[in-house]
Amino acid sequence: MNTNSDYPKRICATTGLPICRSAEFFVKANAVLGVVFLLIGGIAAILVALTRWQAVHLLPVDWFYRILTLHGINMLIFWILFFEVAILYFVSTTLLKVRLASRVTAWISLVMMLVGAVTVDVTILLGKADVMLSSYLPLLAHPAFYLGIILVAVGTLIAVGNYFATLYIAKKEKTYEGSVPLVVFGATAAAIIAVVTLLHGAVVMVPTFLYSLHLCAQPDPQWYRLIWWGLGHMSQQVNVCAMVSVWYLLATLTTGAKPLNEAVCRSAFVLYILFINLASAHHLLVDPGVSAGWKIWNTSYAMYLAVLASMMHGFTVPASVEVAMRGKGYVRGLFGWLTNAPWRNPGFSAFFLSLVIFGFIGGITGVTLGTQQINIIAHNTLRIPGHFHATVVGGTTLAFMGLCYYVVPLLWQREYIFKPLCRLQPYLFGGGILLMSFGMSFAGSMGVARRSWDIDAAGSIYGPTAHLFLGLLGIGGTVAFIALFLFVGLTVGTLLFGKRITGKAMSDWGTPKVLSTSSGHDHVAPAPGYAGAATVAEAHPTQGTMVLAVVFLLSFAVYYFANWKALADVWPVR
Amino acid sequence: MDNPWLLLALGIIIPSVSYTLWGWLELIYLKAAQLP
Amino acid sequence: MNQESSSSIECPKPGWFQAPSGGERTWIGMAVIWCLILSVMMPYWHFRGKQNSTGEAYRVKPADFVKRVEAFVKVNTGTESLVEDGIAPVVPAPPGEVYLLAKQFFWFPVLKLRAGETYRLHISSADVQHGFSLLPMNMNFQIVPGYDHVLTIKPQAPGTYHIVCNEFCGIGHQQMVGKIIVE
Repeated sequence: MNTNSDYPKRICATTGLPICRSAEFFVKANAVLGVVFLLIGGIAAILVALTRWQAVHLLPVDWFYRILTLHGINMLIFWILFFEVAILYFVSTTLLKVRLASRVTAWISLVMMLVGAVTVDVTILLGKADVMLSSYLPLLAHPAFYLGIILVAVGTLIAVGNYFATLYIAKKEKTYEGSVPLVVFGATAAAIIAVVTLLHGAVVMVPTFLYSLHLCAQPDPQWYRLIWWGLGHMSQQVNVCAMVSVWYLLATLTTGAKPLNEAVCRSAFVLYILFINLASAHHLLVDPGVSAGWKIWNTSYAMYLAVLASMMHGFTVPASVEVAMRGKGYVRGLFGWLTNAPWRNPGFSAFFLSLVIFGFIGGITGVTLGTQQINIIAHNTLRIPGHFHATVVGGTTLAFMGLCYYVVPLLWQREYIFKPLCRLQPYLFGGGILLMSFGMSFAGSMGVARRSWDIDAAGSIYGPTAHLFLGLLGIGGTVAFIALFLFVGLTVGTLLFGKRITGKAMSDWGTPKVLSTSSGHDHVAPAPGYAGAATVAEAHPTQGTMVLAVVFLLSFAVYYFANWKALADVWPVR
Repeated sequence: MDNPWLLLALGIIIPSVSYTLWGWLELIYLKAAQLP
Repeated sequence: MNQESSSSIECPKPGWFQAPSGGERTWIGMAVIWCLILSVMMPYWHFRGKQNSTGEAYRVKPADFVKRVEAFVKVNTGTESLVEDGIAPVVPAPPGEVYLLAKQFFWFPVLKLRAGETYRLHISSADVQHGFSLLPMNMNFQIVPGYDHVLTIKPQAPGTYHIVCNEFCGIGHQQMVGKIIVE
């Protein structure tokens, strides 16, 4: 019995779901702020990319390091955290049909996060925090830098608390029956990981802040690395969970896909919760002071259990799309389901490109570079940014852009402007990021360092090939920036000028029509010859996905062992 | 799996012990250099 | 045949906890095998492979380390008459303890080592964190003040190798390039 029904809400004209008015305000506020910081980080990105492209070499030396710091913090911390708070509020209140637990808490969180972020950005632009996102001691920034980050971390923690409170209310007032929807489960995994992340942030930043005020001794620099990466890497694992949840959501919205087996998907999220944070160790693989045993155990996520989880999601998500498409009658050959997928729908293209880029490029390079010994030939080279731009940008950011193509019309009740450009945007962004990532990875393999203003500053050490790859970095970065700017422009333009659809369903970006059904029912009909199957997964072959998955595994094996071979060629070292 | 509080507890404890605490202890117990 | 399964945005129907089947089950099996292979590789290389990062390190005060480097340089210079670019390389006798200092914005000293010999290379920083990146092999290690990071290395081939700093250490970071000569 729902005793919850007297909170202010409206019924969404497209989905029929109840949208809590309070939550709606905070979802919008956090999402808009997220996109603002995305734009700041994006402008910083193009400035940096055009400097690393040595032929252009745009910024002078001090501004390069300054803007690089600005880029890292605005992208990895501010854009991502604000948008994720929006996701948490959105999926909990809408999918569980419940009110947001506390408006006051949401306000406090929003103000803290915003004040903190602005403080950090101003401090950086004033030249008082040229320390990179990672701010490794003994490099020291102005106290306002640390204070700002503490405010953002605590503010986010409060928002996460608000999310858990909302879950609690929904359970107590029985606004839903049984288990929560899969997307909510994934968001909860993200929220849990966020708690661990932000606790590490507090532990590392508070003493450092006090030290910057000369109120205590300097924290040990190696300890700083250990705890900071608890904040730094674990926050990226929040992104992974949120991104995967968004994949499931977009798969449903764009193709009607349903999870093949809830136990598999949820178990994969549980493996994330328990083990994925151990991977922070892969930033310390060539560090002094921490042992080989510690490095090997943690960087393998305890025997790759979290990698297993990613591989599971990497199969079940496209497989669910394949099953849905075959159910609609797209059964031709191995890939008819894929070629007929709604590629013109930016929600679909963003989601699927995100999955492919994250898995093939981000995942394979990540596990490989995160091997203790292989890290010797990769640490602090451009191979590292080559990896994480594929995961956080080609993966998470692209998926979040795809989500906006649905959430903006649903919440603001306006149609996107210039739809043909919207349809193009995910391809432009994905393509640009891919090119940039390749440029970075190949330059890094030749030893080009990350975070360096000029590779020729001490004489010509690298050959022309390295410069070629830096050029690819520059071009790819330019394309990606144009696509990012396009996304922001289209989205902001929609908020201001989009055609109003108040009370009407949003127009379809393009979802595949049903070609044939075996009965009048809306359920997925079994493929010919499979009518006797006991489960959905058995009823519908997923050979297309299996082929893609095997190609993935083979690529993984080739890349992985090629790196071991490359390692074997360098000097013995212990 | 339906209990977010249990998952929250385990999700905090496991990485904090395996990554943070173990690493921290290794740093604390590091020997001093013997510089002849 | 399973009828209405629910989508990712709906609550799942009761009894959703089922074992994987079909393509999912096959794939999970393959993924588990791959993860086991991955799990074996690092420990295998630790015992049988020649390139490892064990993190061997000792606590040291930066000022003491600087003094140790200077003492090491004093003992091992003067045996080399060949001066390159105005810098007399330091030639330690193998096998032995070799010292290298990272400081804003240079590496000190220039070492001359012999191919095929083993050295214990002690590296630390006088000030902030630096990155030891030996090119062109591209071998990379983190250098932290307060930590004497010991790398037991065996140069393989003669040549001149550059040490590029690849951890941001301040405004002169990109200029911080050193050298190791191997003969």
